[in-house]
Amino acid sequence: MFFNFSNTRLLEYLPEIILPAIGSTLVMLFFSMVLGFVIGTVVAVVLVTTSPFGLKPNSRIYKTVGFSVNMIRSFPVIILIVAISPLTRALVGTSIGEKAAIVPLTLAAFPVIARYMEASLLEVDRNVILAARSFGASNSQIMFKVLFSEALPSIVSGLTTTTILFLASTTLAGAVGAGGLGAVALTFGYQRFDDVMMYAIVIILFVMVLAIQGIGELIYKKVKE
Amino acid sequence: MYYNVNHDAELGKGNEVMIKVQNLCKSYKNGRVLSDINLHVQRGEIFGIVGQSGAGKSTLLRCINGLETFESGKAIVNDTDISQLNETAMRGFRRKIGMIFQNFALLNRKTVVDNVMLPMECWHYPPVAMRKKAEELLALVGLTDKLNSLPHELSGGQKQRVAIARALTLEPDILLCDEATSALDPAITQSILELLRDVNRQMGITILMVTHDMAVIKTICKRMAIITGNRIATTGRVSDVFLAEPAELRELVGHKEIYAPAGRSLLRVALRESVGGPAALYELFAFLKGDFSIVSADIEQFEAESYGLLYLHVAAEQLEQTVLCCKQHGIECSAYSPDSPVGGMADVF
Repeated sequence: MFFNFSNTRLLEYLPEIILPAIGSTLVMLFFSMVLGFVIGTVVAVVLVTTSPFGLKPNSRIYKTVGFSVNMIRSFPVIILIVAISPLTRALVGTSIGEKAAIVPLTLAAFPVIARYMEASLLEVDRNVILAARSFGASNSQIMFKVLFSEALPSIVSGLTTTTILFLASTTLAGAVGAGGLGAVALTFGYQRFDDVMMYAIVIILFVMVLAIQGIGELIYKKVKE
Repeated sequence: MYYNVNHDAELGKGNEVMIKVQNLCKSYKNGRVLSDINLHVQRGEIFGIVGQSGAGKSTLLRCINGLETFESGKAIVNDTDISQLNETAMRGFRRKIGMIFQNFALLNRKTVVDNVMLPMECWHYPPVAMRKKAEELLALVGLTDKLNSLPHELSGGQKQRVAIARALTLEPDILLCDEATSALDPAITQSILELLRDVNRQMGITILMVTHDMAVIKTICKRMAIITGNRIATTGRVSDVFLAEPAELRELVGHKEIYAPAGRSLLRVALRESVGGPAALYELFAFLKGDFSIVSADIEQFEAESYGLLYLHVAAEQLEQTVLCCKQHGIECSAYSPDSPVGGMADVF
Protein backbone atom coordinates (compact mmCIF):
# COMPACT_ATOMS: atom_id res chain seq x y z
CA MET A 1 0.00 0.00 0.00
CA PHE A 2 1.20 3.48 -0.87
CA PHE A 3 0.14 5.05 2.42
CA ASN A 4 0.85 3.59 5.79
CA PHE A 5 -2.20 4.42 7.91
CA SER A 6 -1.45 1.87 10.60
CA ASN A 7 0.35 3.95 13.17
CA THR A 8 -0.17 7.60 12.36
CA ARG A 9 -0.03 10.02 15.25
CA LEU A 10 -1.46 12.92 13.24
CA LEU A 11 -4.41 13.59 15.53
CA GLU A 12 -2.29 13.28 18.63
CA TYR A 13 0.26 15.79 17.30
CA LEU A 14 -2.16 18.15 15.69
CA PRO A 15 -2.72 20.56 18.62
CA GLU A 16 0.72 20.46 20.26
CA ILE A 17 3.07 20.06 17.28
CA ILE A 18 1.42 20.99 14.00
CA LEU A 19 -0.53 24.10 15.02
CA PRO A 20 2.47 25.78 16.69
CA ALA A 21 4.53 24.81 13.63
CA ILE A 22 2.06 26.63 11.37
CA GLY A 23 2.49 29.64 13.66
CA SER A 24 6.28 29.61 13.50
CA THR A 25 6.28 29.14 9.73
CA LEU A 26 4.03 32.17 9.39
CA VAL A 27 6.22 34.18 11.77
CA MET A 28 9.37 33.29 9.80
CA LEU A 29 7.71 34.06 6.50
CA PHE A 30 6.11 37.30 7.63
CA PHE A 31 9.16 38.85 9.22
CA SER A 32 11.60 37.76 6.55
CA MET A 33 9.27 39.14 3.87
CA VAL A 34 8.72 42.46 5.66
CA LEU A 35 12.43 42.96 6.37
CA GLY A 36 13.34 41.68 2.91
CA PHE A 37 10.86 44.14 1.41
CA VAL A 38 12.30 47.08 3.32
CA ILE A 39 15.92 46.29 2.45
CA GLY A 40 14.97 45.17 -1.07
CA THR A 41 13.16 48.47 -1.70
CA VAL A 42 16.24 50.46 -0.69
CA VAL A 43 18.44 48.32 -2.94
CA ALA A 44 15.97 48.58 -5.85
CA VAL A 45 15.89 52.37 -5.50
CA VAL A 46 19.69 52.46 -5.57
CA LEU A 47 19.81 50.17 -8.62
CA VAL A 48 17.16 52.07 -10.56
CA THR A 49 18.65 55.46 -9.70
CA THR A 50 22.22 54.58 -10.61
CA SER A 51 21.52 52.37 -13.64
CA PRO A 52 22.89 53.58 -16.98
CA PHE A 53 19.34 54.68 -17.92
CA GLY A 54 18.55 55.87 -14.42
CA LEU A 55 17.77 59.23 -12.90
CA LYS A 56 21.36 59.72 -11.77
CA PRO A 57 23.58 57.19 -13.56
CA ASN A 58 26.59 56.04 -11.56
CA SER A 59 28.12 52.91 -12.98
CA ARG A 60 30.43 52.28 -10.02
CA ILE A 61 27.62 52.12 -7.47
CA TYR A 62 25.36 50.27 -9.89
CA LYS A 63 27.94 47.59 -10.62
CA THR A 64 28.97 47.16 -6.96
CA VAL A 65 25.41 46.82 -5.70
CA GLY A 66 24.42 44.64 -8.65
CA PHE A 67 27.39 42.35 -8.06
CA SER A 68 26.65 41.98 -4.34
CA VAL A 69 23.01 41.21 -5.00
CA ASN A 70 23.91 38.57 -7.57
CA MET A 71 26.46 37.02 -5.24
CA ILE A 72 23.96 36.61 -2.40
CA ARG A 73 21.37 35.26 -4.83
CA SER A 74 23.76 32.57 -5.96
CA PHE A 75 23.73 30.93 -2.46
CA PRO A 76 21.19 28.14 -1.99
CA VAL A 77 19.08 29.11 1.04
CA ILE A 78 20.09 26.04 3.03
CA ILE A 79 23.79 26.81 2.58
CA LEU A 80 23.23 30.48 3.41
CA ILE A 81 21.61 29.52 6.72
CA VAL A 82 24.61 27.43 7.72
CA ALA A 83 27.20 29.78 6.29
CA ILE A 84 26.02 32.89 8.13
CA SER A 85 25.25 31.21 11.45
CA PRO A 86 27.96 33.23 13.26
CA LEU A 87 26.33 36.43 12.02
CA THR A 88 22.91 35.12 13.05
CA ARG A 89 24.20 34.33 16.54
CA ALA A 90 25.69 37.80 16.81
CA LEU A 91 22.43 39.42 15.77
CA VAL A 92 19.77 37.40 17.62
CA GLY A 93 21.84 35.45 20.13
CA THR A 94 21.11 32.00 18.73
CA SER A 95 21.35 30.13 15.46
CA ILE A 96 18.47 27.76 16.17
CA GLY A 97 14.75 28.38 16.01
CA GLU A 98 12.42 30.53 13.97
CA LYS A 99 13.82 33.82 15.22
CA ALA A 100 17.27 32.78 14.01
CA ALA A 101 15.91 31.62 10.66
CA ILE A 102 14.54 35.10 9.95
CA VAL A 103 18.08 36.47 9.51
CA PRO A 104 19.24 34.19 6.67
CA LEU A 105 15.77 34.18 5.10
CA THR A 106 15.77 37.98 5.01
CA LEU A 107 19.25 37.94 3.58
CA ALA A 108 18.14 35.53 0.88
CA ALA A 109 14.89 37.38 0.20
CA PHE A 110 15.99 40.99 -0.22
CA PRO A 111 18.06 40.47 -3.38
CA VAL A 112 15.17 38.61 -4.99
CA ILE A 113 12.71 41.33 -4.02
CA ALA A 114 15.14 44.02 -5.14
CA ARG A 115 15.56 42.46 -8.59
CA TYR A 116 11.83 41.94 -9.08
CA MET A 117 11.19 45.51 -8.01
CA GLU A 118 13.96 46.86 -10.22
CA ALA A 119 12.40 45.09 -13.20
CA SER A 120 8.96 46.52 -12.34
CA LEU A 121 10.30 50.05 -11.99
CA LEU A 122 12.24 49.86 -15.24
CA GLU A 123 9.05 48.85 -17.05
CA VAL A 124 7.47 52.26 -16.48
CA ASP A 125 7.12 54.25 -19.72
CA ARG A 126 10.21 56.42 -20.25
CA ASN A 127 8.05 59.25 -21.54
CA VAL A 128 6.23 59.52 -18.23
CA ILE A 129 9.60 60.09 -16.55
CA LEU A 130 10.47 62.63 -19.23
CA ALA A 131 7.15 64.40 -18.66
CA ALA A 132 7.78 64.52 -14.92
CA ARG A 133 11.24 65.96 -15.48
CA SER A 134 9.77 68.47 -17.91
CA PHE A 135 7.59 70.02 -15.21
CA GLY A 136 10.47 70.18 -12.78
CA ALA A 137 9.89 67.12 -10.58
CA SER A 138 12.92 66.19 -8.47
CA ASN A 139 14.50 62.76 -8.71
CA SER A 140 12.93 61.61 -5.45
CA GLN A 141 9.52 62.85 -6.60
CA ILE A 142 9.93 60.95 -9.85
CA MET A 143 10.96 57.85 -7.93
CA PHE A 144 8.08 57.83 -5.46
CA LYS A 145 5.28 59.81 -7.07
CA VAL A 146 5.77 58.44 -10.57
CA LEU A 147 7.79 55.22 -10.72
CA PHE A 148 6.50 53.45 -7.60
CA SER A 149 2.99 54.68 -8.21
CA GLU A 150 2.95 53.39 -11.80
CA ALA A 151 4.78 50.14 -11.02
CA LEU A 152 2.70 49.20 -7.97
CA PRO A 153 0.62 46.40 -9.56
CA SER A 154 3.73 44.82 -11.02
CA ILE A 155 5.53 45.13 -7.65
CA VAL A 156 2.60 43.44 -5.92
CA SER A 157 2.67 40.46 -8.26
CA GLY A 158 6.46 40.20 -7.83
CA LEU A 159 6.00 40.16 -4.06
CA THR A 160 3.35 37.45 -4.30
CA THR A 161 5.70 35.22 -6.26
CA THR A 162 8.56 35.94 -3.84
CA THR A 163 6.41 35.15 -0.79
CA ILE A 164 5.42 31.77 -2.20
CA LEU A 165 9.04 31.08 -3.10
CA PHE A 166 10.09 31.83 0.47
CA LEU A 167 7.34 29.72 2.01
CA ALA A 168 9.25 26.84 0.44
CA SER A 169 12.50 28.25 1.82
CA THR A 170 11.15 28.30 5.39
CA THR A 171 10.55 24.55 5.13
CA LEU A 172 14.11 24.09 3.93
CA ALA A 173 15.26 26.07 6.93
CA GLY A 174 13.42 23.49 9.02
CA ALA A 175 16.04 20.95 8.02
CA VAL A 176 18.76 22.91 9.77
CA GLY A 177 17.10 23.74 13.03
CA ALA A 178 14.60 26.44 12.21
CA GLY A 179 11.46 24.63 13.27
CA GLY A 180 8.13 25.23 11.57
CA LEU A 181 6.20 23.01 9.19
CA GLY A 182 9.28 21.83 7.31
CA ALA A 183 10.90 20.49 10.48
CA VAL A 184 7.68 18.73 11.52
CA ALA A 185 7.26 17.10 8.13
CA LEU A 186 10.85 15.85 8.27
CA THR A 187 11.19 14.70 11.87
CA PHE A 188 7.66 13.57 12.69
CA GLY A 189 6.69 12.47 9.20
CA TYR A 190 9.59 11.37 7.06
CA GLN A 191 11.98 10.10 9.70
CA ARG A 192 9.29 8.26 11.68
CA PHE A 193 7.74 6.74 8.53
CA ASP A 194 4.47 8.54 9.34
CA ASP A 195 3.33 9.22 5.78
CA VAL A 196 -0.01 10.62 6.81
CA MET A 197 1.68 13.20 8.96
CA MET A 198 4.01 14.18 6.12
CA TYR A 199 1.30 14.51 3.50
CA ALA A 200 -0.97 16.36 5.90
CA ILE A 201 1.74 19.00 6.14
CA VAL A 202 2.15 19.06 2.39
CA ILE A 203 -1.56 19.77 2.14
CA ILE A 204 -1.29 22.53 4.76
CA LEU A 205 1.52 24.13 2.74
CA PHE A 206 -0.53 23.80 -0.43
CA VAL A 207 -3.43 25.62 1.22
CA MET A 208 -1.02 28.34 2.39
CA VAL A 209 0.28 28.79 -1.17
CA LEU A 210 -3.28 29.13 -2.44
CA ALA A 211 -4.05 31.68 0.26
CA ILE A 212 -0.96 33.78 -0.50
CA GLN A 213 -1.69 33.68 -4.23
CA GLY A 214 -5.33 34.60 -3.59
CA ILE A 215 -4.45 37.53 -1.34
CA GLY A 216 -1.79 38.67 -3.83
CA GLU A 217 -4.26 38.63 -6.70
CA LEU A 218 -6.83 40.45 -4.63
CA ILE A 219 -4.38 43.26 -3.83
CA TYR A 220 -3.20 43.30 -7.46
CA LYS A 221 -6.75 43.83 -8.67
CA LYS A 222 -7.30 46.55 -6.07
CA VAL A 223 -4.22 48.52 -7.09
CA LYS A 224 -4.64 47.88 -10.81
CA GLU A 225 -7.97 49.73 -10.77
CA MET B 1 19.63 75.11 -52.44
CA TYR B 2 19.68 77.29 -49.37
CA TYR B 3 16.70 79.42 -48.78
CA ASN B 4 16.26 81.88 -45.97
CA VAL B 5 13.63 84.53 -45.71
CA ASN B 6 15.77 87.00 -43.85
CA HIS B 7 14.20 86.09 -40.57
CA ASP B 8 16.38 88.35 -38.48
CA ALA B 9 14.83 91.33 -40.23
CA GLU B 10 11.43 89.97 -39.39
CA LEU B 11 12.33 90.00 -35.73
CA GLY B 12 11.94 93.72 -35.77
CA LYS B 13 11.50 96.02 -32.82
CA GLY B 14 8.84 95.06 -30.31
CA ASN B 15 9.31 91.40 -31.04
CA GLU B 16 10.96 89.96 -28.01
CA VAL B 17 12.92 86.80 -28.60
CA MET B 18 11.67 84.01 -26.35
CA ILE B 19 13.93 81.19 -27.48
CA LYS B 20 17.30 81.88 -29.02
CA VAL B 21 19.45 78.97 -30.06
CA GLN B 22 22.92 79.77 -31.33
CA ASN B 23 25.33 77.39 -33.06
CA LEU B 24 24.08 74.50 -30.99
CA CYS B 25 25.80 71.16 -31.59
CA LYS B 26 25.10 67.81 -30.01
CA SER B 27 26.40 64.29 -30.55
CA TYR B 28 25.56 60.91 -29.15
CA LYS B 29 28.04 58.06 -29.02
CA ASN B 30 27.07 56.99 -32.52
CA GLY B 31 27.37 60.37 -34.16
CA ARG B 32 26.08 63.90 -34.62
CA VAL B 33 22.43 64.58 -33.91
CA LEU B 34 22.42 68.35 -34.16
CA SER B 35 24.90 70.50 -36.05
CA ASP B 36 25.15 74.23 -35.79
CA ILE B 37 21.51 74.94 -35.01
CA ASN B 38 20.38 78.57 -35.05
CA LEU B 39 16.84 79.40 -34.13
CA HIS B 40 14.85 82.41 -32.95
CA VAL B 41 11.37 82.05 -31.60
CA GLN B 42 9.48 85.21 -30.74
CA ARG B 43 7.46 85.69 -27.60
CA GLY B 44 3.86 84.70 -28.19
CA GLU B 45 4.25 83.03 -31.58
CA ILE B 46 3.62 79.47 -32.69
CA PHE B 47 6.75 78.18 -34.32
CA GLY B 48 6.99 74.84 -36.10
CA ILE B 49 9.97 72.63 -36.70
CA VAL B 50 9.41 70.00 -39.32
CA GLY B 51 11.68 67.18 -40.38
CA GLN B 52 11.84 63.47 -40.98
CA SER B 53 12.12 61.01 -38.12
CA GLY B 54 15.64 60.86 -36.82
CA ALA B 55 16.49 64.35 -38.06
CA GLY B 56 17.08 65.50 -34.49
CA LYS B 57 13.88 67.52 -33.94
CA SER B 58 12.94 65.94 -30.63
CA THR B 59 16.49 66.19 -29.36
CA LEU B 60 16.52 69.90 -30.19
CA LEU B 61 13.28 70.35 -28.27
CA ARG B 62 14.77 68.57 -25.26
CA CYS B 63 17.88 70.73 -25.41
CA ILE B 64 15.63 73.76 -25.07
CA ASN B 65 14.18 72.68 -21.72
CA GLY B 66 17.37 71.10 -20.49
CA LEU B 67 16.25 67.48 -20.67
CA GLU B 68 19.28 66.93 -22.89
CA THR B 69 22.66 68.56 -22.66
CA PHE B 70 24.66 69.79 -25.64
CA GLU B 71 28.37 70.18 -26.30
CA SER B 72 28.65 73.60 -27.83
CA GLY B 73 26.58 76.60 -28.71
CA LYS B 74 24.03 78.44 -26.65
CA ALA B 75 20.38 78.18 -25.82
CA ILE B 76 18.88 81.27 -24.25
CA VAL B 77 15.30 80.68 -23.24
CA ASN B 78 13.24 83.41 -21.64
CA ASP B 79 16.44 85.38 -20.98
CA THR B 80 18.05 82.42 -19.24
CA ASP B 81 21.21 80.85 -20.59
CA ILE B 82 20.40 77.27 -19.79
CA SER B 83 23.97 75.98 -19.81
CA GLN B 84 24.58 78.17 -16.73
CA LEU B 85 21.91 76.48 -14.61
CA ASN B 86 22.68 74.06 -11.79
CA GLU B 87 20.29 71.24 -10.98
CA THR B 88 18.01 73.15 -8.63
CA ALA B 89 17.87 76.19 -10.89
CA MET B 90 17.14 73.88 -13.82
CA ARG B 91 14.09 72.46 -12.02
CA GLY B 92 12.79 75.96 -11.42
CA PHE B 93 13.48 76.86 -15.03
CA ARG B 94 11.60 73.83 -16.36
CA ARG B 95 8.63 74.80 -14.25
CA LYS B 96 8.00 77.62 -16.72
CA ILE B 97 8.13 75.35 -19.77
CA GLY B 98 5.32 72.90 -20.39
CA MET B 99 5.79 69.89 -22.62
CA ILE B 100 3.46 67.44 -24.34
CA PHE B 101 4.34 64.21 -26.10
CA GLN B 102 3.21 61.96 -28.93
CA ASN B 103 2.11 59.19 -26.58
CA PHE B 104 0.61 61.62 -24.02
CA ALA B 105 2.81 60.35 -21.13
CA LEU B 106 -0.01 60.21 -18.58
CA LEU B 107 0.21 58.16 -15.40
CA ASN B 108 -2.02 55.17 -16.06
CA ARG B 109 -2.94 54.55 -12.46
CA LYS B 110 -3.95 58.11 -11.64
CA THR B 111 -7.28 59.70 -12.49
CA VAL B 112 -7.46 62.58 -14.94
CA VAL B 113 -7.63 65.18 -12.19
CA ASP B 114 -4.76 63.56 -10.24
CA ASN B 115 -2.65 63.54 -13.39
CA VAL B 116 -3.30 67.24 -13.86
CA MET B 117 -2.51 67.97 -10.21
CA LEU B 118 0.81 66.09 -10.24
CA PRO B 119 3.03 69.02 -11.32
CA MET B 120 1.45 71.23 -8.66
CA GLU B 121 1.93 68.47 -6.10
CA CYS B 122 5.62 68.40 -6.94
CA TRP B 123 5.78 72.14 -6.35
CA HIS B 124 3.84 71.86 -3.07
CA TYR B 125 0.76 73.86 -3.96
CA PRO B 126 -1.94 73.91 -1.27
CA PRO B 127 -4.43 71.08 -1.96
CA VAL B 128 -7.49 73.28 -2.38
CA ALA B 129 -5.79 75.62 -4.86
CA MET B 130 -4.44 72.59 -6.70
CA ARG B 131 -7.85 71.02 -7.12
CA LYS B 132 -9.40 74.33 -8.21
CA LYS B 133 -6.68 74.98 -10.81
CA ALA B 134 -6.94 71.43 -12.16
CA GLU B 135 -10.71 71.71 -12.53
CA GLU B 136 -10.39 75.08 -14.27
CA LEU B 137 -7.89 73.74 -16.77
CA LEU B 138 -9.89 70.59 -17.42
CA ALA B 139 -12.87 72.82 -18.12
CA LEU B 140 -10.71 74.80 -20.54
CA VAL B 141 -9.77 71.65 -22.47
CA GLY B 142 -13.38 70.46 -22.34
CA LEU B 143 -13.07 67.48 -20.03
CA THR B 144 -15.15 68.58 -17.04
CA ASP B 145 -17.08 65.31 -17.14
CA LYS B 146 -13.94 63.15 -17.08
CA LEU B 147 -12.32 64.34 -13.85
CA ASN B 148 -12.33 60.93 -12.21
CA SER B 149 -11.78 58.80 -15.30
CA LEU B 150 -8.60 56.81 -15.74
CA PRO B 151 -6.48 57.44 -18.85
CA HIS B 152 -7.34 54.05 -20.39
CA GLU B 153 -10.99 55.09 -20.45
CA LEU B 154 -10.20 58.08 -22.67
CA SER B 155 -9.68 58.42 -26.42
CA GLY B 156 -6.33 59.58 -27.80
CA GLY B 157 -7.57 63.13 -28.30
CA GLN B 158 -8.93 63.29 -24.77
CA LYS B 159 -5.63 61.98 -23.38
CA GLN B 160 -3.75 64.72 -25.21
CA ARG B 161 -6.18 67.25 -23.76
CA VAL B 162 -5.38 65.98 -20.29
CA ALA B 163 -1.69 66.25 -21.10
CA ILE B 164 -2.19 69.83 -22.29
CA ALA B 165 -4.06 70.70 -19.09
CA ARG B 166 -1.23 69.15 -17.09
CA ALA B 167 1.36 71.12 -19.05
CA LEU B 168 -0.50 74.36 -18.28
CA THR B 169 -0.85 73.91 -14.52
CA LEU B 170 2.35 75.69 -13.61
CA GLU B 171 1.46 78.64 -15.87
CA PRO B 172 4.32 78.18 -18.30
CA ASP B 173 5.63 80.81 -20.69
CA ILE B 174 6.45 78.23 -23.31
CA LEU B 175 4.76 75.04 -24.43
CA LEU B 176 6.89 72.48 -26.25
CA CYS B 177 4.97 69.97 -28.39
CA ASP B 178 6.86 66.85 -29.38
CA GLU B 179 4.88 65.24 -32.22
CA ALA B 180 1.81 66.04 -30.15
CA THR B 181 -0.69 65.13 -32.84
CA SER B 182 1.20 62.38 -34.63
CA ALA B 183 -0.72 59.58 -32.92
CA LEU B 184 -4.13 61.13 -33.62
CA ASP B 185 -6.43 60.89 -36.59
CA PRO B 186 -6.93 63.99 -38.78
CA ALA B 187 -10.19 65.29 -37.29
CA ILE B 188 -8.87 64.93 -33.73
CA THR B 189 -5.60 66.53 -34.81
CA GLN B 190 -7.54 69.58 -36.00
CA SER B 191 -9.36 69.92 -32.68
CA ILE B 192 -6.12 69.60 -30.70
CA LEU B 193 -4.49 72.23 -32.94
CA GLU B 194 -7.44 74.55 -32.36
CA LEU B 195 -7.04 74.05 -28.63
CA LEU B 196 -3.34 74.87 -28.88
CA ARG B 197 -4.15 77.99 -30.87
CA ASP B 198 -6.64 79.08 -28.19
CA VAL B 199 -4.03 78.46 -25.50
CA ASN B 200 -1.56 80.54 -27.48
CA ARG B 201 -3.99 83.42 -27.94
CA GLN B 202 -5.71 83.48 -24.56
CA MET B 203 -2.69 82.89 -22.36
CA GLY B 204 -0.01 84.34 -24.59
CA ILE B 205 2.01 81.15 -24.34
CA THR B 206 4.76 80.75 -26.89
CA ILE B 207 4.43 77.38 -28.61
CA LEU B 208 7.25 75.49 -30.25
CA MET B 209 6.10 72.39 -32.06
CA VAL B 210 8.04 69.63 -33.62
CA THR B 211 6.38 67.37 -36.16
CA HIS B 212 6.96 65.41 -39.33
CA ASP B 213 3.60 66.55 -40.67
CA MET B 214 3.71 69.68 -42.83
CA ALA B 215 -0.09 69.95 -42.64
CA VAL B 216 0.12 70.60 -38.91
CA ILE B 217 2.64 73.38 -39.46
CA LYS B 218 0.50 74.95 -42.16
CA THR B 219 -2.53 74.92 -39.88
CA ILE B 220 -1.22 76.81 -36.88
CA CYS B 221 2.35 78.02 -37.31
CA LYS B 222 3.32 81.44 -38.50
CA ARG B 223 6.98 80.66 -38.93
CA MET B 224 8.79 77.41 -39.39
CA ALA B 225 12.12 75.69 -39.78
CA ILE B 226 12.97 72.54 -41.68
CA ILE B 227 15.56 70.21 -40.18
CA THR B 228 17.32 67.81 -42.50
CA GLY B 229 20.49 65.90 -41.84
CA ASN B 230 20.78 67.28 -38.30
CA ARG B 231 20.88 70.90 -39.38
CA ILE B 232 18.35 73.60 -40.06
CA ALA B 233 18.02 73.90 -43.81
CA THR B 234 15.33 76.55 -44.03
CA THR B 235 13.71 79.08 -41.75
CA GLY B 236 10.99 81.55 -42.56
CA ARG B 237 7.32 82.34 -42.68
CA VAL B 238 5.31 79.24 -43.43
CA SER B 239 3.67 80.80 -46.48
CA ASP B 240 7.05 81.87 -47.89
CA VAL B 241 8.55 78.43 -47.40
CA PHE B 242 5.50 76.78 -48.87
CA LEU B 243 5.46 79.01 -51.95
CA ALA B 244 9.22 78.80 -52.49
CA GLU B 245 9.17 75.00 -52.19
CA PRO B 246 12.83 74.55 -51.29
CA ALA B 247 14.36 71.15 -52.00
CA GLU B 248 14.16 70.19 -48.31
CA LEU B 249 10.43 70.73 -48.33
CA ARG B 250 9.95 68.64 -51.48
CA GLU B 251 12.01 65.92 -49.90
CA LEU B 252 9.83 66.04 -46.83
CA VAL B 253 6.39 66.00 -48.40
CA GLY B 254 7.37 63.66 -51.20
CA HIS B 255 8.39 64.31 -54.73
CA LYS B 256 5.63 65.20 -57.12
CA GLU B 257 6.90 65.05 -60.68
CA ILE B 258 4.89 67.04 -63.15
CA TYR B 259 5.61 66.93 -66.89
CA ALA B 260 4.29 69.01 -69.71
CA PRO B 261 3.07 67.18 -72.82
CA ALA B 262 4.41 68.07 -76.29
CA GLY B 263 3.51 71.59 -77.35
CA ARG B 264 2.60 72.60 -73.82
CA SER B 265 4.67 74.31 -71.16
CA LEU B 266 4.47 74.02 -67.45
CA LEU B 267 3.88 77.20 -65.47
CA ARG B 268 4.28 77.38 -61.72
CA VAL B 269 2.26 80.19 -60.15
CA ALA B 270 2.65 81.31 -56.57
CA LEU B 271 -0.32 83.29 -55.30
CA ARG B 272 -0.72 85.51 -52.30
CA GLU B 273 -3.91 87.20 -51.33
CA SER B 274 -1.92 90.24 -50.28
CA VAL B 275 -0.22 90.56 -53.67
CA GLY B 276 -2.83 90.74 -56.38
CA GLY B 277 -4.98 88.01 -54.95
CA PRO B 278 -8.03 86.64 -56.76
CA ALA B 279 -8.23 89.65 -59.07
CA ALA B 280 -4.74 88.98 -60.42
CA LEU B 281 -5.57 85.33 -60.95
CA TYR B 282 -8.70 86.35 -62.84
CA GLU B 283 -6.58 88.57 -65.10
CA LEU B 284 -4.25 85.67 -65.79
CA PHE B 285 -7.09 83.30 -66.64
CA ALA B 286 -8.70 85.96 -68.83
CA PHE B 287 -5.41 86.38 -70.67
CA LEU B 288 -5.15 82.65 -71.30
CA LYS B 289 -8.73 82.65 -72.70
CA GLY B 290 -9.43 79.17 -71.44
CA ASP B 291 -6.44 77.64 -73.18
CA PHE B 292 -4.89 76.16 -70.07
CA SER B 293 -5.33 73.28 -67.71
CA ILE B 294 -4.69 73.12 -63.98
CA VAL B 295 -2.35 70.27 -63.18
CA SER B 296 -2.20 70.81 -59.48
CA ALA B 297 -3.41 73.39 -57.00
CA ASP B 298 -2.63 73.76 -53.30
CA ILE B 299 -4.45 76.57 -51.59
CA GLU B 300 -3.73 77.21 -47.93
CA GLN B 301 -5.09 79.66 -45.47
CA PHE B 302 -3.47 81.09 -42.41
CA GLU B 303 -5.00 83.80 -40.23
CA ALA B 304 -7.47 84.81 -42.93
CA GLU B 305 -4.79 85.18 -45.57
CA SER B 306 -4.76 82.59 -48.27
CA TYR B 307 -1.85 81.62 -50.43
CA GLY B 308 -1.44 78.91 -52.95
CA LEU B 309 0.60 77.17 -55.52
CA LEU B 310 -0.78 76.42 -58.96
CA TYR B 311 0.73 74.34 -61.73
CA LEU B 312 -0.71 75.10 -65.16
CA HIS B 313 -0.21 73.69 -68.62
CA VAL B 314 -0.21 76.47 -71.18
CA ALA B 315 0.49 76.49 -74.90
CA ALA B 316 4.26 76.54 -75.44
CA GLU B 317 4.16 79.45 -77.89
CA GLN B 318 2.12 81.50 -75.41
CA LEU B 319 4.51 80.92 -72.52
CA GLU B 320 6.57 84.06 -72.82
CA GLN B 321 3.48 86.28 -73.02
CA THR B 322 1.91 84.49 -70.06
CA VAL B 323 4.95 85.07 -67.89
CA LEU B 324 4.86 88.75 -68.81
CA CYS B 325 1.18 88.92 -67.91
CA CYS B 326 1.92 87.39 -64.52
CA LYS B 327 4.63 89.92 -63.88
CA GLN B 328 2.29 92.75 -64.79
CA HIS B 329 -0.21 91.66 -62.19
CA GLY B 330 2.36 90.94 -59.52
CA ILE B 331 2.04 87.17 -59.62
CA GLU B 332 5.18 85.20 -58.92
CA CYS B 333 5.71 82.55 -61.54
CA SER B 334 8.30 80.36 -63.11
CA ALA B 335 8.08 78.29 -66.24
CA TYR B 336 9.60 75.00 -67.23
CA SER B 337 10.49 73.72 -70.66
CA PRO B 338 8.40 70.87 -72.11
CA ASP B 339 9.19 67.31 -71.08
CA SER B 340 11.20 68.26 -68.03
CA PRO B 341 9.80 67.53 -64.62
CA VAL B 342 9.58 70.00 -61.80
CA GLY B 343 12.41 69.66 -59.41
CA GLY B 344 16.06 69.86 -60.22
CA MET B 345 15.78 71.09 -63.85
CA ALA B 346 16.74 74.40 -65.36
CA ASP B 347 14.15 77.10 -65.38
CA VAL B 348 13.45 78.54 -68.81
CA PHE B 349 13.12 82.10 -67.58
